[in-house]
Amino acid sequence: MLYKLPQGTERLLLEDALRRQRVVRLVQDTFQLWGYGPVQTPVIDFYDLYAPFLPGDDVYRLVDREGELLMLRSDITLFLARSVGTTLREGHTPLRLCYADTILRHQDAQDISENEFFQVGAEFIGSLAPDGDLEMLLLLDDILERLGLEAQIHLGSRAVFDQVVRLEGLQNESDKLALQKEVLFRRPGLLKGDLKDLFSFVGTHGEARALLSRLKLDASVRKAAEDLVALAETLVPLALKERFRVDFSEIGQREYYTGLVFQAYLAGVGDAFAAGGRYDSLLGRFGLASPSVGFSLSVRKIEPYTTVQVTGDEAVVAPGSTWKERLTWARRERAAGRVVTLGGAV
Amino acid sequence: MNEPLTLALPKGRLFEQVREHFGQHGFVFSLEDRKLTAVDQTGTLKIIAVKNADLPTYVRHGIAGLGVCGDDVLYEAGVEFTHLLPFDFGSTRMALAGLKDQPVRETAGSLTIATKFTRFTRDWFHALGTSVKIIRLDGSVELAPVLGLAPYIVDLVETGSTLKANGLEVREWLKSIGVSLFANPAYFKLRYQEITRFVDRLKEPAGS
Repeated sequence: MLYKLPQGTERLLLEDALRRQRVVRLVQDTFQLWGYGPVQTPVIDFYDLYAPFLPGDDVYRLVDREGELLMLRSDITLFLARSVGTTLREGHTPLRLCYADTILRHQDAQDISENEFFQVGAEFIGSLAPDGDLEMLLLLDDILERLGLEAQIHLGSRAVFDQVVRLEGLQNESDKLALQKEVLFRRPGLLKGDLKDLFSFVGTHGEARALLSRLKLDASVRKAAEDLVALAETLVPLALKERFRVDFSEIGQREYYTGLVFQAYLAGVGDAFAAGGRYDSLLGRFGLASPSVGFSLSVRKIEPYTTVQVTGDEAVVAPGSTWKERLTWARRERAAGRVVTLGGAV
Repeated sequence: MNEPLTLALPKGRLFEQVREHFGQHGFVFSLEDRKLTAVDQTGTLKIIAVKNADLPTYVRHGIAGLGVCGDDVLYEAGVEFTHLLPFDFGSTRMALAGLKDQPVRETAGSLTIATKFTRFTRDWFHALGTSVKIIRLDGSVELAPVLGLAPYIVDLVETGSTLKANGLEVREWLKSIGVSLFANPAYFKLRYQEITRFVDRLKEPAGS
C-alpha cells in the first residue's frame, strides 16, 4: 500500500508542483485581465442531479449517512451550472466566471486521460453567439500565447450534429451514440454522400466556405454549418496566431453542448488538452435558463511544453550565529524578493 | 512539419504483408537486422515494429501516430482511433469452437469459454443475452477443450487445420476480422494534410 497509488490520482513534488502553480497563476491572471472572477464548486454533490448528463461510468459515487447517493466532482462545468442556475436571477447576467480545481474520474489502468485531474477554465454566463463564442476563443488564444504553446484549435458545431440526428430520425440513445462515434472516429456507417463529406472535412475557413457551396445540404444543417464558418471568418483575422481550423468532426464529447464546440491539440500530447463549447440550455435544467459558453484546460498535459520558467529562485542560507542576526538579514533580503532559508537543517 | 509520419506495424506475418502492400504504392522500406525502426525511401513514414498486442498502446499514447493491426487487437484494447483505411489482406474470422461430435451442452444458459479475446467474447455473448464464464489464456487455446479446462473456445480461425488436428470444429462463425490503418485522433488533427495525402496514395491502384 505504501508505494501504490490509487487509480486516478496523482502527486506532484517540488519542481513539478512549482510549474503547476506558475501555469495556473498565469492562466488565472489572464482570466482576471479579461474580467473573469473566480468561483469554487463543491467537491461532492448529489449524483441524481447530474446523472442525465454524465456519460459512461467514470464517476466516483458514494453514499452519505442518510443514504443519499453522492458523487465526486468529475465535470466542473456541470457543478457550476447547478450552482449558478439555482442562484441566478433575472438581470444578473452577464457573468464571467473562472475556476482552477481538481476533478476526479475513475480510469482504466492504461487510460491516458489520467492527466485530466487538474483543470482551469472559464464560463461566460448570459452570452449570445457569436460574440460570446468569439470572446471565449480569443481568451483561449491569449492564454496559449502567454503559455508559449504552438497549439491548434479545431472548431466544430454540436448544432450541425443535432440537426443531422433530427433529420435521420434517431430516437434512442444507442443510435445517437453510434452516430457520434461514427463522426468522431471517421468510421464507415450511416452517413453517405454530402453529409459524409461534411463531417470528414478539416481545413481553413476559406476551404470550408468552398465546401459548403459545393454540398447539397438540408437548410437546417446548412444554417448551423454556415454559422460556424462565419464565426471562423471573423475570428481568424483577430487571433494572435494562425491556429484555428474548421473541423465538422468536432461535435463535443458532452451532450449538453448546443452550438460551437472546440478542442485544442498540441504536438506530443496524445489527446486534446482543452475543450469547450456553447451550452444554451444547461442552466435551465437547474433553474434560470441563460445562454452560456465556456472551456476547460487540463493543466497537466501541457505543463512540460510551456515556456513558463521554474528556475532562478535558488535559496540562500541567511548568515549569522544567532536567530536575530539571521532573521534580520533574511527580512531585508526577502523584502528585495530573494529566497532565503534560515538554517537549522540537520 | 516535415518530420515523417510515425507508423506502428505489428511484428510477424502482417508486417510483411503491409511492407509488400506499401511498396506497391511507392512506400518502400525494410528493417535492418535486429532493428525495430526504419524510414521509407520517400521519407514519408517512420516505421516502428512492435508486438501486435502492444500496438494500440503505442498509438494511444501518441508514440506512434498511425498504426496498422487487426480489428481483434483494437477491440481488446478498448480504445477508439480515427479510422483511415481498411485493407483487403490479412482478414480472418472469429469463431466459437468445441470438441467435434459432442453436442452443445446448455448448462442453465451459461457457457464456459477459454479465449485470448476476453473483451470481445464477453460483449458478444452478453449482446445475445447469454451469460458466459470466461477463462483467459494467452496461447494454444485449442488445448482447453482437449484437456477439459473449458468445453468451448473463441479464437481466430483461418484454415481450421489447427482445430481439426486437435479434434475440434467450428460451432459458430461470429465475426469477420479485418486489418486497417488508423490514427491517434489528436495526431490526425495535427497532421491531417499529410495523413490524407498518404491515405490517398494508398487508395490509388498499385504501381501507379
